[in-house]
Amino acid sequence: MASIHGWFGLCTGWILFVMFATGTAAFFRYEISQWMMPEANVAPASRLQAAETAVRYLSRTAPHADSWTILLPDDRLPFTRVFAQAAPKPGQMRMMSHEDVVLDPVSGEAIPVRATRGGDFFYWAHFELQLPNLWGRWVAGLCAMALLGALVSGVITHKRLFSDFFTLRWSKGQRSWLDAHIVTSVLALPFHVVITYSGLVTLMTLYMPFAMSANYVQPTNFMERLYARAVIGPASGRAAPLPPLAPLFAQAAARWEGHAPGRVVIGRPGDEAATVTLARSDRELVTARIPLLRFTRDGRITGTDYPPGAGTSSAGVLRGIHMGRFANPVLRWMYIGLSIVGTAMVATGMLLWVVARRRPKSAPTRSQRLAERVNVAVIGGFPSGVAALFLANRLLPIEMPSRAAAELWMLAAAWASAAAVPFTVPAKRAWPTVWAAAAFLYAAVPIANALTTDRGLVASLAAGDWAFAGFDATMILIAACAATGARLTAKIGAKPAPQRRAARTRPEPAVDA
Amino acid sequence: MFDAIVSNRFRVASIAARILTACVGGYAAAAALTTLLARALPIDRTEATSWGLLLSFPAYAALALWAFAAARPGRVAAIIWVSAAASAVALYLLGIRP
Amino acid sequence: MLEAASLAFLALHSCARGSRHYKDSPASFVGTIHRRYTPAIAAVLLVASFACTVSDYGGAQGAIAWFGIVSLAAIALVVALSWQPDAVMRYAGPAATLVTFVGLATLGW
Repeated sequence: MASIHGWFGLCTGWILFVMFATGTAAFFRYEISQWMMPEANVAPASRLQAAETAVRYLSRTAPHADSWTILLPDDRLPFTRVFAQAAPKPGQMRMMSHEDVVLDPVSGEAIPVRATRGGDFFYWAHFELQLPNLWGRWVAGLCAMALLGALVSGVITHKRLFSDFFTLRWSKGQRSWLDAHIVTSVLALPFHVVITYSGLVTLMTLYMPFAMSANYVQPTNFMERLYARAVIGPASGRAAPLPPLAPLFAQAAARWEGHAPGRVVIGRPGDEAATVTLARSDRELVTARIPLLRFTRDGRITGTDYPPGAGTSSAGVLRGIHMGRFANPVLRWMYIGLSIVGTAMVATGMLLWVVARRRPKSAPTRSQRLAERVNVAVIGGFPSGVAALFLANRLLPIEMPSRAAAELWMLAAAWASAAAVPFTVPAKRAWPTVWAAAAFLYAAVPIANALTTDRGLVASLAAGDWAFAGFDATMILIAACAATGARLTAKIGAKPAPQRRAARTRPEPAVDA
Repeated sequence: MFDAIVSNRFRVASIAARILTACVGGYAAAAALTTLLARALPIDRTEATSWGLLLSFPAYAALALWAFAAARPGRVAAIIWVSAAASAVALYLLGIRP
Repeated sequence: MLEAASLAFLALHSCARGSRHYKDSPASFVGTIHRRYTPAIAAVLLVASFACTVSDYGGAQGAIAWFGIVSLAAIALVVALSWQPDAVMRYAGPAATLVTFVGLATLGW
């Protein structure tokens, strides 16, 4: 069982580290988007006003689109985002576009923000791993499945689960890494199991589509009931003006305790058979299967939404728990804290894998050295890449073509450079160098922000802009942690080997290779 | 020396077989068994499908770990592959839910 | 939420006190409780913590928040114990009890 746990972990650990890191950042998706689009400094507006101005904009720019999706502003993201979409191919689900236009909710004009993926990069990278088509989702799914197996086998392996519950020993080499791995995994085990399982459930129609094919001639019928998607009927071909939104919003408020919708989807705009679907804000309910209200063009509620039973509701709640959009700020910070613990679990597991196989008297084998170097490249390198992404967001010229892609190339370039470090410098200097580089890059981010925009840390603190101030403060905090890491790893590396062996007071546990 | 090569190859082959049974066979068996459950459960079609999908992942994890941990790999492989095949045949015979 | 967190911390603290590792360490009033009662006391404190979270945040958010609070309290306790076991064993109990009362007082009880 222990070797299963180790091998599952090794094969998938580096990808899981990236998934956990991007997942942690994705909890802050909207705040990161705000920071990466500093030009979008808008005044707040009511959701109805935002919807109406968005419709005006879309009527001007995409009058013949198959559907319009309008994501209304809220306290986490104060501007409107709109997508105009073409019809999907027959038998395929409508997939959310990655590209959106940012609008001022008061005027409905497109805000000239710099081209950037924003915080959405972390959301998509978390489960698509920046790979084309569906490959990323499959790789992420395999890794998540392996993690589920590793969690179960980890519990089974750990025979002294409860007696070792409070054990954390510092400075004892391999024993310390084992303790750290156990503490981060066992003490947050409910979170790890639920987040892994709910992550798989989020994409379950991709990973295990067979049940749908056994019960439905047309599986998209099931998916429309599972996800409560807006159903857009066929066009009539006759033109007609769009319905006014105010009475529809009023009807929604009557049903939803006075809350305004979070999303408006208009199907076949400009056609007589146009439909308006209002979706409740995903901030208010735990379930991700958001209640919908569908209206015809003349304002009648049409088509009853399938009332979900236990199974469909459970799936919706699990998806909602995974994304955590319902969470108030305190709960969201807890999500992030536990997610960091999860990232640490994966990282300590990978480090333990390497440390446990070091034989004190013989040199490490080539594959052990490779694993150690890839550890440095991924665990030390990816954070540096993310810092470079933020720096690129501030430093790349605003008018350059393919700017959003260029930011991602900067992430890749920084990660590649950091990854080259363990293969070029002596082993003892690898970790300190990588952490020092990360500290430098993260510290540079708020400086670049202050120098290139007028929303630096001091200004945002003065204006009470918590998203910006929090982001800059977090960058400084991460830089401080990285600097501490650089100092600690430099000190450990400098200690001569005999002294480290003497520090081990217990015999090493037998760890299967 | 010859013994070492043969036994080493045998060990690698048996480990590879376990991995195949656990990862591929486990997926097949979990998918087939939960799909059969979804098809046969006498409850509403949508709910049955949802339950089948929800249960498929714990089933896969349990089967894969069992395949790795069980003392007799032959027996486990037989059970997993046969149940996958049997469920698939049953599903084929049942056809899509009317 | 403060009282929920400190109640969870107290529950885990008493579990630690009851475990073999720390049975001989110096202790506050928590040490006067016999080791065999610590699981039951921990359970009661965890239930109280759950009640506080649910009453603060409502059903679903409260239940989810509770798991987070317990996990993070456990990690905080373990890290603190690994660093200064004697000080934590002696002072954490009274400190967490005080925080619990402060938290409850701000609720208006």
